[in-house]
Amino acid sequence: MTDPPRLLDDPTTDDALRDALAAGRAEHPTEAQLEALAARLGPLLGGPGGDGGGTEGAPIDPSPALAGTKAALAAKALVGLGLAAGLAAVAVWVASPEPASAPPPPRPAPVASVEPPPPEPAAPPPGLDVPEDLAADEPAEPVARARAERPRPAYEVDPAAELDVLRRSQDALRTDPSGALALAREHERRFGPAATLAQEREVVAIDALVRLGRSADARARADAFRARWPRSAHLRRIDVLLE
Amino acid sequence: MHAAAEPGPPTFAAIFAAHAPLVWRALRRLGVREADVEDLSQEVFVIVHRKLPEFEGRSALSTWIYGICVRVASDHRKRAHVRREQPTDRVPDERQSAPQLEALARREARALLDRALDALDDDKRAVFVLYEIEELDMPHVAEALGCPLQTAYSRLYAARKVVAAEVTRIAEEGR
Repeated sequence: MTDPPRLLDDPTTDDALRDALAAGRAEHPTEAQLEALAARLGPLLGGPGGDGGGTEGAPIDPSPALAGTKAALAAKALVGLGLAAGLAAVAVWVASPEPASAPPPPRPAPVASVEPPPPEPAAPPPGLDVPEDLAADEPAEPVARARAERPRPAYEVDPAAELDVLRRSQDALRTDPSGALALAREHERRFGPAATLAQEREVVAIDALVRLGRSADARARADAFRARWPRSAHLRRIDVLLE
Repeated sequence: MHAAAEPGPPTFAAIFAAHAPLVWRALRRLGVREADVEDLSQEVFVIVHRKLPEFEGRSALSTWIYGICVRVASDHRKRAHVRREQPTDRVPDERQSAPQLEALARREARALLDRALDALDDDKRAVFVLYEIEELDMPHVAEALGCPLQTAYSRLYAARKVVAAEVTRIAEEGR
């Protein structure tokens, strides 16, 4: 079957529609917009804060075409991958069918994490004065003892359910930060401290604590985050939350 | 005599450099508001980066990326909190220079296009945008969308009718 002439090339097309199509084709992002986008992708493009080499074998070799954006990358690379983008990207991975030409669905994977997940921290020992919200992330020394004493809980492995809980917690942030925090706890309880979206959960929890006026708890949780994921792309966002 | 080195797979940075404008424009026409297009472009490239090692080259890279754009935009539009863009492009009363007037005319034309595209469902919109604006061939449109070629043609013809009617309606509304 032969493709029909495009409307823009068809002399019978209405002038207003022709102008509209031409204007649509002619729209391009500005250089500043592209630089801003490149800066947000800094970790993936090999900028500071990222792994510099891509993940899962993707070769990273900044091309000359990007030379003009490298300075911007250096300055802005840690703008990082936003939570919304991360969650939505996971949603696409988890929920969307592949186009016919695409490979089979990949394994669910964290979007914003560029380092392997850390070992699961143990619960703090009894009597340690740790805020409830920090308990699961506080590095506890007697890890071996705690693990020996308590069987390791079995966490759910369900990326779609994880995403659902996180989405609800993020949606609740503005109107109900206590609810958002509760959902972050639920996420941790169900999917574990080192869940696929653990970093995103922690960002929500820190955001909720800030909104609740619990600055000290927010900072403590942020410190724990930084210690646990020192190269995370979310650190910039956390810094902004705490400003 | 040395054989010429085989070109390696494109790097992510090269893909970004080559496709960022295309992704941006496609997302806009697929219904992503200007305020959200940077976020969504980022999302597209995060997915491209993750899936690149699995890209087998059975389709053109740009076709593959367009498919990702369509899914990301569709997912975005389905979210409850996404509002439709309110066109604000109106010619101000004060006098404008010729370049300003041209720029305004282009913005108004784009606003008209987006309003007409808003009358389409996601499936028809994707076909119309990829064929009429991004200028993919129909087999590639079908490939990007993962639908049979005949289905893509049907959607294109249906979309054309809707868009033409909507442009006429908007024009009459403005008279």
